[in-house]
Amino acid sequence: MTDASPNRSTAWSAVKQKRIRIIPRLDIKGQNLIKGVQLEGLRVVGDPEEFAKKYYEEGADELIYSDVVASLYGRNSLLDILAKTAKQVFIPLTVGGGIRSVDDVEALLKCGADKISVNSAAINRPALISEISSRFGAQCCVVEVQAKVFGKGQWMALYDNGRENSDRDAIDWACEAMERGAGELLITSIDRDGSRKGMDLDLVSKISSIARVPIIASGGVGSPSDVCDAVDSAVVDAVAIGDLFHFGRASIREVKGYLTHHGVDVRL
Amino acid sequence: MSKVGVIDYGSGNIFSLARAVEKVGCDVVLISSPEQMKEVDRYILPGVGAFGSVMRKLEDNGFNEALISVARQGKPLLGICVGMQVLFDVSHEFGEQEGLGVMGGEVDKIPLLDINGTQNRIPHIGWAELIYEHGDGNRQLVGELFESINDRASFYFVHSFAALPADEEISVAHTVYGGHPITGAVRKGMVFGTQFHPEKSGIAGLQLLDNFLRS
Repeated sequence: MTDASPNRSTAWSAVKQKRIRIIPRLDIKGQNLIKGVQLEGLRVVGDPEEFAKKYYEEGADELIYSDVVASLYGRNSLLDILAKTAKQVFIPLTVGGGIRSVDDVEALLKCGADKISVNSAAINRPALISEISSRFGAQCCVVEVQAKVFGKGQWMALYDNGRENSDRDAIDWACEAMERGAGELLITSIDRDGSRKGMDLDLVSKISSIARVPIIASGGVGSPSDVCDAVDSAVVDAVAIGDLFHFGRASIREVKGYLTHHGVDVRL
Repeated sequence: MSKVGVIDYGSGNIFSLARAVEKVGCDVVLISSPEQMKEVDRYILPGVGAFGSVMRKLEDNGFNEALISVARQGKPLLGICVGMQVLFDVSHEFGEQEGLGVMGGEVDKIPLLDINGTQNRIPHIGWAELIYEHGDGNRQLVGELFESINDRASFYFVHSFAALPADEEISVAHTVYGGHPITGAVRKGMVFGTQFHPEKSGIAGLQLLDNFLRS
């Protein structure tokens, strides 16, 4: 769909129309910005700090850094990249990958992170969510749900960057994460990640129907119209985009311009 | 340019705030005890997390009286997010919690429902424009804080509670979430507060910090 839904402008007319955040998602391996397909087949894109600065200057609303091998090796190489980024990028920074304890969170916050996102360690030990939330506030605690289709209307929650199946239903897991104190959900479609085939709209709308906290939809945006489709099919608070920006196929300004033209409220 | 003291009591994203202040050409002095407050004559009070735990940490470090005294002396003070909320009399977060009482009013939950009766997603996270309370006249009240900032500029909010000033004269600007007004910026004398994070609000936020540092 390329045209704005005729309902969109009226559905939120009484309440001010929901404004969407556009969030470049930077997956990091070692010191490099990388991008994979379905979180696999990683390809080096460049220097993460340079990309972060460019996105900030182009009008990104927030940035997500995700250390994609941190869970595998049990470490987080982002502290350095993060501290350098926070010196020149004055928008919120969400950081994930390999976070196992409140001490890990504290180290990231001290280097300039505003929010942290957890997946693997929270699946292994869900109490981690409430520990982070009660110590630093729910607003700081993003839970990433990596969802993979396992039949119609059913998704399983994966971890270790999409490599392992938790045998948990992704929707149930999202509900549990909110109950335990998640302040935001980052919903990543493993099937669509890096595919440029558009977002998993069934997944996004299912999550939207149960969400009491803001949701960031991630995975599959191949064109600006894919963002419109997600906004039309569900109440999303933010869309995370990697591939489309990293390979210069569209700029943040172009995406925001397209969205504005199609009746979606974004910060210009 | 001048120096500013950032109150460092073990809460808040001080790293980013310090980098933003340096970006606009001001030196940061991290203030970790009330005695150190003499070194500067202008202060920023950051704060994240729960109101009660922020107040306890301020008390444990002996900052309460020092901050109240600074406010009385008319030295510029800027509270950010929960750092603004604790300037008020009382909060209803996890039971009743006493604040610094520099500003009259309460802090309470963002309404759970929007004005259509649909559930509001909380925390409120995102960029929002401000509505200035008294039009152009308000620009006088707000003084230099919003100078050179576009009327349509957006600022980054992330919070579950909001201030309800007792006296509308101290309310400088609000935003709207789920159809409800949400206090965005307050001022009483030389004490300023923003619910949003200027250090995370891009160019407009840096301009606001610059304005405060010159106030």
